[in-house]
Amino acid sequence: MAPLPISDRSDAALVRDAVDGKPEAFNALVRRWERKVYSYLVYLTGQPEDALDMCQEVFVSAYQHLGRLRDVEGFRPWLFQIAHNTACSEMRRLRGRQFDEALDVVDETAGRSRRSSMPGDRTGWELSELKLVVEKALAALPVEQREAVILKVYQGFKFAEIAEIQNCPLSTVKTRVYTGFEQLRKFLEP
Amino acid sequence: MGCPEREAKLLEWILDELAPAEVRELEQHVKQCGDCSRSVERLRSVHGALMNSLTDRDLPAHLVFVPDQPKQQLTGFLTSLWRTAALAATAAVIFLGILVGGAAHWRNRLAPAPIATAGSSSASALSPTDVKALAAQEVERQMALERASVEASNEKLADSLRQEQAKSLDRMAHELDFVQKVQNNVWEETRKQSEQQGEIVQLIARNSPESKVPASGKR
Repeated sequence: MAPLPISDRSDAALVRDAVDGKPEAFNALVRRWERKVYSYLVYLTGQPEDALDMCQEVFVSAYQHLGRLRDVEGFRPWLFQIAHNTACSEMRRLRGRQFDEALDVVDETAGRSRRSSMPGDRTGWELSELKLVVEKALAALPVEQREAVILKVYQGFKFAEIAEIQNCPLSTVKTRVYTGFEQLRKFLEP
Repeated sequence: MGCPEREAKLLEWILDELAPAEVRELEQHVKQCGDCSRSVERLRSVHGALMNSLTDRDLPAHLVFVPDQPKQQLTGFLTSLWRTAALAATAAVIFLGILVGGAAHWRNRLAPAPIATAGSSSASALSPTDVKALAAQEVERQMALERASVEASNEKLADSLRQEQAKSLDRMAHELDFVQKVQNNVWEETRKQSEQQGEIVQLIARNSPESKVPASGKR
């Protein structure tokens, strides 16, 4: 049977090949996950320009430490754990400057967002506005809650995987997601 | 379980974190509890808003991935340096070889031809008349050769034509012979047919009634 094209191979198979010294396998992993990691970093930090640099750093770090990944099936949570650590380091470095600016923008749009932000039959423009409002509402959450919500809803991780990524107990993850939802509901409801 | 606690469970249900048995239990409860039913609606609205908004962002550019680790980068740099030096040395040797070979070649080409000594060649001692005579002899010899060649060629051609002519005559003789045989056959057949016709006429004449009438009966 002919081998699968590299783009169709599983993460685990690509990780094994990359560890065996095939850079094209790791490049395939980069192409597969770069958008997800980048989007996660943008939503988490609110800084698209910095997110690109962070994304690059995440994959370089992943490549350097790939040999230490014991469970190759768990590549995706492991990759986001690196992304989490990278983002936390960067946010600590930038604390007090950019993220306060992001929250200021949220305050400016808060009144408009409360008109109606729940999904329904919406036009493209309304969906764009909803997207903007949701992003601002997310930015208003504490970073741990924001990250837990993003990892759960956008990335589709299980609570247990999020606990590994955030390096915290499962119950804490549940609380963060639930509290985050409550805050978002208050922000988005008319 | 009170309803606030149950609301956390409802969220886990929406987020697909519950076992099937727990899902069935909650579904039963939500059907009977108006508060929980409204909670589910609210949580689903928030979830829907997030799902509609949190989409993949486009990267400004694909990542430029550097596969080598720093240690390997140093090794790779040294290897490439060594390889470059080796290539440069090889190129220099080849260049020098070409240079030396080229110089030797052009030295030979540009050097004056050696002068012939008095007894070494008789060509230089010939007078113009002799040269003309020799040229005329050579021309005559060449013309004789050409003539002989043409004559031989003509002779071959004539032989070939003669052979062809003989073959044609043989063919014609055969054809004529065949025609004569056919004609003889035709004559023979005609003769036989004439004889048969004569016999038939005689037979008819003998058997006709007129031939049986007595001579006295004639008018």
